[in-house]
Amino acid sequence: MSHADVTFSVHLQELRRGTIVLGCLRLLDRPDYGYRLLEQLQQHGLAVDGNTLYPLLRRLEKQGFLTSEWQAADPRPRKFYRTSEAGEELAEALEADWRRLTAAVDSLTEES
Amino acid sequence: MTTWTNRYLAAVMRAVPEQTRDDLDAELRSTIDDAVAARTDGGEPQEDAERAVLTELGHPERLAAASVDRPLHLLGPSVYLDWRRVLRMLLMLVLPLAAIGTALVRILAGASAGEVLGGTLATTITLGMHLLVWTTLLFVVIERTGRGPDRSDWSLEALPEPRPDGGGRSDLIATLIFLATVVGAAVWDRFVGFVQIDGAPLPLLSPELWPVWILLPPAVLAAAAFAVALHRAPGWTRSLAAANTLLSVLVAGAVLALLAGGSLLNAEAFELLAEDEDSVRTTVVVGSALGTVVISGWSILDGWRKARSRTGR
Repeated sequence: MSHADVTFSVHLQELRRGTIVLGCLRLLDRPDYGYRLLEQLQQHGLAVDGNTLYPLLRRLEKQGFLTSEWQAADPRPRKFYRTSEAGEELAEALEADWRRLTAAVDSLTEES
Repeated sequence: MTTWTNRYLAAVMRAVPEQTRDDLDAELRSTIDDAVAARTDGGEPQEDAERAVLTELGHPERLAAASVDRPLHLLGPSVYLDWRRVLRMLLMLVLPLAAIGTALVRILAGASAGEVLGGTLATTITLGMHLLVWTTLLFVVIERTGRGPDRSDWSLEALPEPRPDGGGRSDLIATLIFLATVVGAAVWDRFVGFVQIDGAPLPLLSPELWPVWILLPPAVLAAAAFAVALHRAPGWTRSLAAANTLLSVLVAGAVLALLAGGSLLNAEAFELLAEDEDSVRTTVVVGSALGTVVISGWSILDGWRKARSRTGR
């Protein structure tokens, strides 16, 4: 990959970063475990790598936006995450901001 | 599950703290299982699926660091600028002094030009390495323990007042390291020796003076206390300038008195090292006295100048 391609994808990554957080907080309204969340995000068009998602889940839990619980399942127990009240508030704030940004970006293209 | 997963997870767990290991291990295991199952359900052989899943997860230590939120750098943006400033100041202050000092000693000892050049270069490089390593280590500790400047919540009011006058944190650290170097040099001179004759130290400072060195710790402590007080204060004030004057006069006075009495430098060293003992001795004594007067004089004037410019008159 050339240098230009790398910087190009870095900018895209930066723009997407927050949307993964929002996706997690919304989808984890119903408790779910890591791998299925990854699949669901993909189905919703928010593709993310496991090595980004799994650390993110732990970080959001540490920050109090998610809670977790081990549940017995076959073949082994799984760690289920769920959005906390603080997490819901964060999701609403992120979503409001996202809509505001969409309007702002729209107004940019309208003007030009 | 093959040994690949066990090997991968073992590598991850080595890089995380003990108390998170069980939880992280179980979580990653179930996640890897799920991802592998999704692939084998599609007809992929077990081992291929496992290799693909683990490869996608990336470097185990990177995953570990991300999982426990640990920085992947030695010095972060919060301390980098202070680190660079302290290091630059120390290298510019200490290295030339050390180079001149060691070169002088070797010249006095009658070393050849090559020996003077080589020995001075070696000493200077070694000292530079020490300064680099210990300063960096200090800042790494500051970074890891989170004692550095708070990045998350700050206000304009909480920002330190601009201090172009040498009262900032990096100046404080530089002063303290410099004082430690002075004490270290005095102890080194006495017990290890910058100059050695047949493996025994030949102190450059008078050994009879050694009991008087009991005065060194209080003097260094006073200088350190002054540096801390200067750092705490909003800037140079008249009283700080007065304290600086008193401290400088006391130290310079003590050095000059000892020089004049001929009891600061080791007479034996001169006899052994220099051919023309008396003239070398006079040069060193006059040079040291002049240096002491110039440095303390500059320090005193600088203090008053900064105090005046700060109070605006």
